[in-house]
Amino acid sequence: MKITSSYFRIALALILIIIAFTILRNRTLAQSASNNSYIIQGGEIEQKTFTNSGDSSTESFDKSSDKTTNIYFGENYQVTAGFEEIEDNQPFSFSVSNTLIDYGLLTPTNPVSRTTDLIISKGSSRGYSVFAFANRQLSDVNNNSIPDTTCDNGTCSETSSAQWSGNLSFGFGYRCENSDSSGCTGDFSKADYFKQFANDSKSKQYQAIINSFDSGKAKIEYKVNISNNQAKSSYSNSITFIAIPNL
Amino acid sequence: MRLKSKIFLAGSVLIIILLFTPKIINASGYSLSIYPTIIKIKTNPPATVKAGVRIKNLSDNPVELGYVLKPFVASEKNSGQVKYLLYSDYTSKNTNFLQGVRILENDQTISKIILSPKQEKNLTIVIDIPREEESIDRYFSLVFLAKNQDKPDSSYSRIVQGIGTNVLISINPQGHKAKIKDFSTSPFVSGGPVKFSVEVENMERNFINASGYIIINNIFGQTVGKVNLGPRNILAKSAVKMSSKENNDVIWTENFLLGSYKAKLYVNYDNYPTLSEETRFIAIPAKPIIILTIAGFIIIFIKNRYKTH
Repeated sequence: MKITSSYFRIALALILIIIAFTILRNRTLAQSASNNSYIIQGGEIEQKTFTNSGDSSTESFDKSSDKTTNIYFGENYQVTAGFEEIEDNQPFSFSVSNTLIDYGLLTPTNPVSRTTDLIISKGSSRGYSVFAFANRQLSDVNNNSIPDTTCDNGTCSETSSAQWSGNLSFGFGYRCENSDSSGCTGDFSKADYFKQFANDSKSKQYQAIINSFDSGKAKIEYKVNISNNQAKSSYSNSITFIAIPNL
Repeated sequence: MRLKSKIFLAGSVLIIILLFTPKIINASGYSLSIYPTIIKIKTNPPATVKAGVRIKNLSDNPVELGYVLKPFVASEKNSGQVKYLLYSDYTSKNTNFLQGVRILENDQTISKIILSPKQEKNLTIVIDIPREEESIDRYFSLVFLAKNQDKPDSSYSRIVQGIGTNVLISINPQGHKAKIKDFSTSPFVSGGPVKFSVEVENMERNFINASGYIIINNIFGQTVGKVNLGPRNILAKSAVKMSSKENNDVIWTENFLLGSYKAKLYVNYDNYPTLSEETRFIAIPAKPIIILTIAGFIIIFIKNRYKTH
């Protein structure tokens, strides 16, 4: 009976210790104290002073004074260059691995794939987008053209993706694959999902193919597959990638 | 004779392969950088606004750049992305305004620039805004374009590389007014990190710059967390989902949570009074509770066993 009682006490004490530890752990980590006028946080000691006039809508805080934004004035105007509260002034950069995609001699039902790497460094921006569009369909000098792909089930367009793996689905399209943390849009999360390029000659809205907060690298895969009815010729177009910082 | 025919056959196959293998033209790409990443202008016309832009060729090849001005509006996704207007949607006002924009190099108006390898050039955007210009915001991207001029014999796509910076202009800016459109999180969580949804709407005709932070208090009123929001430019009559300084989401990274919490959002814009909004959530750490319950049952079981003995 004595043994039972001591074992029970030890178990009870252990449970109490665990409960106390788990509840108090939160407080210990925060190391903070506050009231309506101030906040003191431990670890990285940080102090903010609030002016509280009683009405929450008039509360204000002292904006950081370490801004490196370039603000300058001219006659009747003011220019702010760069983002407020972003301390560095790194440029935004964009690299394209190749500027000419050669599909070679196209033969019916033999899909040809080529790739381009896009590398974006966000610099001192708050994220960025890469827009893509084609000036026209792949066309030859006689105005014969390879249509934009509608994928295996005939549903993909410049705004929606679909699977394109069959050799009997014809046309020209692309997909975007993340090489690292870059933000290819969710349209390409599944393998073999392709889209059409927005066609500028048909006044189609440019489509953002990448939208990311962080610097990154993406691989664009172009695919072209022609049918037996396609005239043997040399087809060409221009594809534009525009990298632009977000607002 | 048999050997000769074999050599002939092999040679023929080799020639066919060489003829029909696509010629890979390794046209190396370009690498460009631009600064600043945004140019914000407030003006009371008449004014001839001047702003600097730095463009650099980071590659080892010379590059010729043209440029275009592309007007935009805010994307419907409220994500801070731009949405370019179609040419068919350009109004005569858009066109007239953009005609007043010039790019200068050494005080000379240019239509293209040539950059040697690693060369950087300082350019000036000059915008003529007449007195009678309508008092609304104008937004456009200045996009520099690099184009390969090679022309192979086979089928090909020529890649045009564009890099740009955004220009926001407020003409005769009036008062600003914004509101917190959304500040929410899941009302019940089992633990951290906690993700908040923060959306701020600009209700007036001029763009604003918004930033802020979230203070999180526990059930005892103690401040246990803070999330800083990065700055966002919000175009006229549009809304934007805010993000933290570090990434594209607003996340409080604390892992162990227990009890009721109050999160208060403070949004500051263009030195106007701070907006604030509150939300509450309850954290129930399901995993530790289950473990403790099981431990309790085990103790009771052990106790009962000793009693029976």
